[in-house]
Amino acid sequence: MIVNFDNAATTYPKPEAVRRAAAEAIEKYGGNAGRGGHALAMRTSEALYSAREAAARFFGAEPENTVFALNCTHALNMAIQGVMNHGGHMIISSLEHNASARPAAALAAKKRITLSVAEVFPDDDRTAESFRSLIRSDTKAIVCTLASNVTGQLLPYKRIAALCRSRGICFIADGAQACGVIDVKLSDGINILCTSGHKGLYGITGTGLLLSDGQFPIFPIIQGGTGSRSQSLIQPDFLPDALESGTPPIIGAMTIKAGIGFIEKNGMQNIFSHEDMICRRFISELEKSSNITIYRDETARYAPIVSFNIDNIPSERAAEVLAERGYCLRAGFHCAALAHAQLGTKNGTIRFAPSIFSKVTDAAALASHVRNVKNFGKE
Amino acid sequence: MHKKAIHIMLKTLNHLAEEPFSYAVHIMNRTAFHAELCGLRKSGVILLKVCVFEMPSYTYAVKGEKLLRSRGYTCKIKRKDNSSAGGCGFSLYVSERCRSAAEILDNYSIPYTFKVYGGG
Repeated sequence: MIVNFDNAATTYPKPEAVRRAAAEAIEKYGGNAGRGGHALAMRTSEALYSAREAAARFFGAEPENTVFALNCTHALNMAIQGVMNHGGHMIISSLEHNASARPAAALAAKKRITLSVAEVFPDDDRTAESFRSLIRSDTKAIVCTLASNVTGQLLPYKRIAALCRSRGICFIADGAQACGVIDVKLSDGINILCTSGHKGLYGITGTGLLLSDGQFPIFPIIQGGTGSRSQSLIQPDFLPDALESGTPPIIGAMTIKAGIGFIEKNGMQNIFSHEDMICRRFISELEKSSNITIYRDETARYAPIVSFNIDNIPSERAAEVLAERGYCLRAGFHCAALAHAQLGTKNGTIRFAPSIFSKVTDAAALASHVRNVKNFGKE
Repeated sequence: MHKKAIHIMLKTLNHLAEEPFSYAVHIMNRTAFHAELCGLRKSGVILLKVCVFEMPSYTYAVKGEKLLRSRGYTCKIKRKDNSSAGGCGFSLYVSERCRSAAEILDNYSIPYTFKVYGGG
């Protein structure tokens, strides 16, 4: 028996509609999209376009500005390296996942850009001011996660977007933990939205999305075959082809379409409410013990993620014991060096992340295990 | 040139036999084409006009197709002709109201190269 509370890593189980979409795609859409005029290629091309259209509509983008990536990290690398191609100054938040922080740090280390880190506070006003105070005349982009993958804290991204718009700065958003539970749209002021296909959108692993409003050019970091202008050695300069070199994740794209359909059918607000209720119940159960630290501030807003620690027990050890009892939680640093540095969590944290399929009874049972096991780390 | 034009036309007719609106010739030489057109007209061959919007990618071709079909146009996506510049791509074939079709695509900023085949 396993109970998955590690849905921030990837959602499991997947909805029935997504499983069916994957099977159907393998059976029917076995051509290569955009690369032939025969029946198999054309129906695969049509299917991929329908997935592109569904994703575009979901986020308020145009289909041609909707790019299928291999994951959110891939999308963020394309966005960050593509927008900062000619250098300049970039600001990232202190809660960024390594998917943003590492490419930014790598560019800074090569002295191709200058980089600033804006501290995130529980108070949105202080966070917005933190970003504003770092803006310079040569600031070209701000990269900001919409929700921390460690604590779940929601950032005031609409205010940060407005700040960017007023200064002509490109706003690149990491929606990996927010998309699917928060109604994120490009019209919120996001110039480039990057997200996973396999977390809140319930698609399969190996999928991501980059959606652009077309205002800022994105220089391709990968060149290759696109099925267009093939006689030229020059990479196409129009989306989505410019950023979709090689065969796109066709089967994955069909699962994203099915996942979006699942979300729309169930209602995003309902999904958020369900997961949030489970988190609140879990927290209330943990709070019955004094030896558990929960990394939440009552003045902040959160996506359905909770990080906690038990006494001074290393998080990996605690997660290992819980795993032996069938509970899947991720411990450690969650690929978020900046976030854990800000939290001061030298041994990382244990992260609890439910999905629409999680049950409050399982959350309560898990909390009981966490709370009631004596000599927890010494078993 | 006359024989070559006829050969090309017959080959194209066979290729496009399923199309409801398609009699097309390749524009290889405008002067020669017009000369051949006059000759074909004299011999009683009826040529229907086909507008072809060559798109840089399948994505734009589909977007264009959806826009035009929603406005009552008959259109079809096919692979771009190999003789066209740039290589691989997709074309949108439209059999009617070519000018207004082009305006619709322009209004939605859909890039294309416009060609007209045939014409009576």
